Amino acid sequence: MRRLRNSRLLTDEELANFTKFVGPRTYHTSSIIIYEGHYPHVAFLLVEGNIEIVKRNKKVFDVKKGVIIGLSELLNERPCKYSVKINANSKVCIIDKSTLDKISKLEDNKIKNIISSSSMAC
Amino acid sequence: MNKTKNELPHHCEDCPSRGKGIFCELEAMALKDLDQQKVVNTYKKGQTLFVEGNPPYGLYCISSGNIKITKMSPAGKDALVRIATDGDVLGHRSIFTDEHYQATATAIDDTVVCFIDKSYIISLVRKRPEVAIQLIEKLGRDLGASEDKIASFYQKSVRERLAELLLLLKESHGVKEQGRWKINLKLTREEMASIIGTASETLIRFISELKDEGLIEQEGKTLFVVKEKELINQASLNY
Repeated sequence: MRRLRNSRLLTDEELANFTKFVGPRTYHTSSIIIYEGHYPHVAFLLVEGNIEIVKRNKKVFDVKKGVIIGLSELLNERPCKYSVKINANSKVCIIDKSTLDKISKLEDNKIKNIISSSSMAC
Repeated sequence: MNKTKNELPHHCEDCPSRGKGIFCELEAMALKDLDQQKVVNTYKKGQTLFVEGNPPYGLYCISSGNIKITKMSPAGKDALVRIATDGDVLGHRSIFTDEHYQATATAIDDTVVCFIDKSYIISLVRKRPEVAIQLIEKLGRDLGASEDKIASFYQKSVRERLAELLLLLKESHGVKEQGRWKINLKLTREEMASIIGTASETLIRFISELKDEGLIEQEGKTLFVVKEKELINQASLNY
């Protein structure tokens, strides 16, 4: 099994910049947001709360605040090797393909750098 | 493990539900653009597409299979609201109202689902009036079905509601087999009871009555509609 690790965590300033660009949303109910073997619909940046990486219904890893999960799989159209579970009352920025297109067209590199530096594979 | 992308119906042109969905009237170029944007996955039985109370971020289009839509009661009991099947879309209401999901969508069997993100859908609706019209038609049909359901709860007996449900399931999932209609959908008696707003014991009693009268038949857990016209009379329907 591949060793999981959190990528570089975003600083509070970077997180604040990103949440201005993509408003955070609250998950009121605990649920699986990416299933093992699925191609992710979107990537998630954890702003507050808790996201777990799960394998065969067992937690194997905690994702830390300021980490983007599922981005490389979304960009490269690869299935995830793990399931991703979000716990109730967690806040995330939802990064979809249209948002990525918008980011790629930005002249300012701040947001692009945030995306490229804090992505964690699942 | 999910199938690789190439094995799934990645192109709308090859979709098994071609002709049934809201995007089917788009021209070839627009469909190719949609192909690039969508994400296709197979959901196994019990896996959820979205969960009540969570934020919406796109639209789900069912390529093949069945999804149940449930709502949780304050007492924590799931009520089955409806079944979505080939060509249906889900999540369209929440992306336009920007409310959190009002229900949970769960796969009943292996179901292939295409996901399209919210921003893309909104830009498509702005650019392509044919998609907007399809969505309005869909919302209108959904509203009509909800009104019918409310009226049915107030005006009809459990027996009439059961007859109506069997006819609806025959329309959506019926397969003609030796002069009768097999309802080709695995629903538990609890789920059927929940759709018509009764207890499973009551539902089972009325199923037995309809069987005794020869209107329906049962083999294992599978139900068959045998006398459609009589069932229409029982349901007090005018069609």
